[in-house]
Amino acid sequence: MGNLMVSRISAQFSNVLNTLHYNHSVGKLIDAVFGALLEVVMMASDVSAVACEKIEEIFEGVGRAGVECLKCCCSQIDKLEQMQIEIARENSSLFEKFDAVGKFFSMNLNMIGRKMVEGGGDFWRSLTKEEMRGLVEATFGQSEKRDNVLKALV
Amino acid sequence: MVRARSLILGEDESAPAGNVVTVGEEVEEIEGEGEEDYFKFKKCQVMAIAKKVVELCEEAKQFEAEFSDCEPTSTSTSTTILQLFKLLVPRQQSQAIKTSPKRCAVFHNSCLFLAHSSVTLNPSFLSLYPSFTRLGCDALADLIDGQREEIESVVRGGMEVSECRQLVNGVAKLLGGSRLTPLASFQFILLGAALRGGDC
Repeated sequence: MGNLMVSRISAQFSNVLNTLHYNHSVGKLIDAVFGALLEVVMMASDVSAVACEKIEEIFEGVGRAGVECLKCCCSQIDKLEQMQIEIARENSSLFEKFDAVGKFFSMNLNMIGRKMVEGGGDFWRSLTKEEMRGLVEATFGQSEKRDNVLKALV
Repeated sequence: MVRARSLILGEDESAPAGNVVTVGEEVEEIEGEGEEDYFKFKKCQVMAIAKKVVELCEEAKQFEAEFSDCEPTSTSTSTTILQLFKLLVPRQQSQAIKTSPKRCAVFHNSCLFLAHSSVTLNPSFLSLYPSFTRLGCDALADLIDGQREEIESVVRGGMEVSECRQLVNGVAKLLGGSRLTPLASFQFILLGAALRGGDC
């Protein structure tokens, strides 16, 4: 519904605003959808494996729909997706966080641990230590592996 | 001035208040290097009134040049026409600007177009530039804020989530009135969202 509202408003902006103003305005609207969904997920204290799959699915779909609402002028098809993501990063302040949280739910503790050892790069940049801790604690049951990941976070 | 007033108040039949026209030039963007020319006004739609106002200003400027040796000043007819637009249009069309995304976007563009035109008409009109850009940008920012709030409230407490809540309550009743755990409620909400095709 949120994405539907964004696409309805962006259709009204589409032929009126120039690309720069259009992407800036629509980026703010997309943030409203991302923010509301992130709030729900970040507040969860216990997330089952089934819920993880659903969250990943929803975040992927909503994220893709959000990116597609933005205008991207790219002549090369092979570079289009990369350019779209770049534009989403520039215009939506919550895109990176939304993308990272969505991907988080597709990972197991080994993958998270490996990402942390590798440094994570852009992936973890948008999440604070507290947020990461909250997600790990809500998603994975008490175990030695989880404790190691939580220790690595400190 | 009389022509300008009737035009801005929408009394001129050649440019009704809701009409839009396309102005500006296509500015090519060079990948990785940004735009080609910062000084060109980018192609967009503006109010027909705004374009007519610029034409009137040019006419007034020519008229002043013919009958006066002096350069147009900040008190010239052109600036008064531009000030008239700035004062009357936001009041005249306040409801449409606040509620319609398209009308608001057109008003935003019109303000930027007049800001650009005021400087190109005469560099001494530079003082008008910030007031026009602020007027347009504030109107668009206000609309975006309003729409954001609406989107947030729809996503948070909209029909879909209510349906999911009802579903949760229904299941709770079936279970003999016992309340579902937060985890189960969360799963039901997500399940409802997933069934709608991932669009919350």
